[in-house]
Amino acid sequence: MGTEELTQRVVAILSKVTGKPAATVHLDSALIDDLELDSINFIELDHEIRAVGLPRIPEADLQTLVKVADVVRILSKYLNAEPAAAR
Amino acid sequence: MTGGSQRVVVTGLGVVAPNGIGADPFWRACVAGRSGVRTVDRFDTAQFPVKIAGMVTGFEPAEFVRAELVERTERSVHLGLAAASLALKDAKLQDESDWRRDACVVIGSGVGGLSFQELVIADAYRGGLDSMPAPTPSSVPAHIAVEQKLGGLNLNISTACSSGANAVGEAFRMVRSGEARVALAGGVEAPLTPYAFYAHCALRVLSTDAGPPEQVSRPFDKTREGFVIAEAAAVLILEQRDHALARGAHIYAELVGAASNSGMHHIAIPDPSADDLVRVMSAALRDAQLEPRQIDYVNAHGTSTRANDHTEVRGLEAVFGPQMQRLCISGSKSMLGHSLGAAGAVEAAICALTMENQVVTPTINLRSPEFDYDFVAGGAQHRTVEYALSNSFGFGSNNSCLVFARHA
Amino acid sequence: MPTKKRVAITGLGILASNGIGRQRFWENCVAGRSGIARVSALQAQGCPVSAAGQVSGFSAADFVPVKLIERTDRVAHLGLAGAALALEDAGLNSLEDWRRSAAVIVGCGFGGQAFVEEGVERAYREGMHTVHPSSISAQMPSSASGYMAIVHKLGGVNLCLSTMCSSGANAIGLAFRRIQAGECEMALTGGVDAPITPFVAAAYRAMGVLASDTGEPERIAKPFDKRRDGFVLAEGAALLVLEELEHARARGSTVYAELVGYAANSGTHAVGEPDADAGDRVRVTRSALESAGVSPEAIGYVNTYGLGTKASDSAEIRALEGAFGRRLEQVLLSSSKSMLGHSFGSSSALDAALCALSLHHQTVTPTINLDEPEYEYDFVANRARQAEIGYAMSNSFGLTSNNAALVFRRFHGN
Repeated sequence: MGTEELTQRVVAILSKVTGKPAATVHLDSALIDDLELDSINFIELDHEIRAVGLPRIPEADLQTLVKVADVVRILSKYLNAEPAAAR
Repeated sequence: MTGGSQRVVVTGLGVVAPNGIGADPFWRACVAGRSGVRTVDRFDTAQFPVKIAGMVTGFEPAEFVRAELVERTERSVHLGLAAASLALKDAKLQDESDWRRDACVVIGSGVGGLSFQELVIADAYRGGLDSMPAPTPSSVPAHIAVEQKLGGLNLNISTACSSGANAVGEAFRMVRSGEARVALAGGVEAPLTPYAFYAHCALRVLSTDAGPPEQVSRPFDKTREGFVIAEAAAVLILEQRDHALARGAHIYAELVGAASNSGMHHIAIPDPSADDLVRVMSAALRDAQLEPRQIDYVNAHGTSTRANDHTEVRGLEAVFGPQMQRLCISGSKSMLGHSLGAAGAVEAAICALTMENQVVTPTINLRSPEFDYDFVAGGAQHRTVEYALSNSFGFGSNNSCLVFARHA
Repeated sequence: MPTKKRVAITGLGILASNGIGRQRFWENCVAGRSGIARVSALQAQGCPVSAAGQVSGFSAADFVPVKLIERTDRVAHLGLAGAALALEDAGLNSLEDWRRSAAVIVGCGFGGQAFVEEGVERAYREGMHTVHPSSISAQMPSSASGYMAIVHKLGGVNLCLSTMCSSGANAIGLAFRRIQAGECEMALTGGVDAPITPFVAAAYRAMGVLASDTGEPERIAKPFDKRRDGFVLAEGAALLVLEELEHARARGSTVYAELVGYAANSGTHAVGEPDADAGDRVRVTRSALESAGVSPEAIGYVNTYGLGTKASDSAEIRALEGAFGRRLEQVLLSSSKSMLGHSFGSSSALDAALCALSLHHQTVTPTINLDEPEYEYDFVANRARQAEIGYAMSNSFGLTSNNAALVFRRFHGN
């Protein structure tokens, strides 16, 4: 999956989880400060990511996410690490 | 109705808990620090991140519930009816009938009949459809009222993890105001079915520790990282003191205060400022007409989550100040797990037993305490406990606090 | 003994099958307009019935913070909407100081029912990993009451209670008692439920208590009629602001009516079956009147439970005869379920709102579809009636042996 498509998916998921319009979710949007994610949102984020067949983000990595770009980067890393497996 | 303000005492206890069925076995297990947390053996947890729970074992519904009702209802009704029956027997109120006409039943539960619904839906609606209100929270108190012929108000209180405490609090108010001479107050939760269990996994509030099950629930410990879900039922008989004395009833303790509030914060995350916990504890103490310095023992909510235990200690510090150093604090969920809507009632029963026996029960698994207070980590101890406070904090920022007094 | 405070109803937030908002709801009830319609979603889901009282034209986004919509069930959406409307109706949006101690006591019969049904089915079909993180907070009955406190910053006593059909009345009663006793000055109370779902429909169908689902949907619910054969499933939210009267006067708020009495008890015959002699229902009616300090003669209007099943309606008439005797012939009776269907946790709260509005407007809303009444009492059949009423009463005789009664008094400005 290319970065652009992955970014679009992540933006769509964040929009769903936060209720904010996709147009306001940018790569450099800060998850907590700009998009107002609470701790449940982080769990929902992981849930929705896996629901569309993307890899699970381990707990330790989930804690390090600051911006939207970080989510894309982490998923890209796990996607490339296991190209054949979505789950 | 006599009106005015009646004194309210606890004259009977019925407990069905993971570490004991019946008040005496339960108390002995708690004093011994015996855990009821085990590996789940009721359904396949191979794909679940959590495989343990506080489970009631050795429970025979037929001992407490008539045959056709066992068939038509499910575990939460069985546990609830058992706890009610045990409590009435303990209070020696089985035969007397005069008080039954206005006796109230107030039962707390967090998820109500969720497990029942799950099993019917999972079975493609093949059976169990004609048992309304079984899938709803009102089922347990309704069955108790009918089976025991109790004619006063029967209601379910549903405020998640504080349900049991709120139920005891509301029943307390009904007896205090004179509306009822006797109330059955308690909580029931039987959430150990796949979906209900997994739903708690999905919220990431359960500990995923793969160590020995009985060591996983460790409130106030540095290494804690979630609670252990459990099932349980507890019913307390609350009675007007005059009525209890007149019939020569055994009195465990007096219930002297109750308060409930909302932290207005978040459906699942406690307000880190603990402001709402301070408010509810202060309100309960005011209701009891007591000062914080008079409290000797606190039965904490103590779930073993990072957030709760930290916030709870902050709240206790704000209320008790330097008095914190002389308090004994028990985290009973260390042995019992978290029985959600039942927990507050189970812990109220522990308070009643604590007052009667003048023994404080331990917080087990506390090997590296995060906070420098007396959590009774070394085992049960004899203590003078004149007044006790019990906390329950639920999802939805719902807080409940009860205050007990020793009955001389 | 301290004197009991007087309790005023100063705000109403309504979402019913025949209208959203107090005004629209009242106008439609007066006009005898039913909210029962064919619900295509039910048909699509293979439900055994398709006529239901759904709140139509409802957009959650109008009332619920966007972030919460996905993670909650319709019951919380309706509840939050009801709360917002009630607070607005009471003129309480800006006042801040009362919020920290305001009580929230709300009845809910089922909780997040649709969320559970869909979640369980998907979990068993596709695997437990599909279980949504917010499943518990969406399902728990206190979802609505919890979020009301969180969203509207109401920090006092917070309770959700469930007694099925009488949930709303009991919630209102507990709030009433607290204000009477001077324990708080304001309470947001009432009931909400969203039980129009395949499981609930199948369950009540299996118990044989749902009305035959044929013909014009508006004509299906016919309480007290000889042809009646069950109730129609419905949803709704009715939130009331109760306020200590002096407090209400001080801020110049509208007082729709006063709440003056409440009682609740249990039948003990069998869960779901009324006691044959209606003794429990007679007692609760008498207790409610006693708590209000009035005799049966004072009551001009009874908003009945009026479920529409053979057994329940006849048990109710027996109870009313037992409580009122010959006086019943002079009392106006009506059943709102004829127009709204049975909305469980919200039904007795909707009825409480109707009592308040009836006293305020001195108009009693009709029992519609009453073409062949089985009983010779005045059910205000089919057309609303203007009438001078001093006191009104609302009954809820629940399907879980739970009975509740509320007594209301017209407010004359003093």
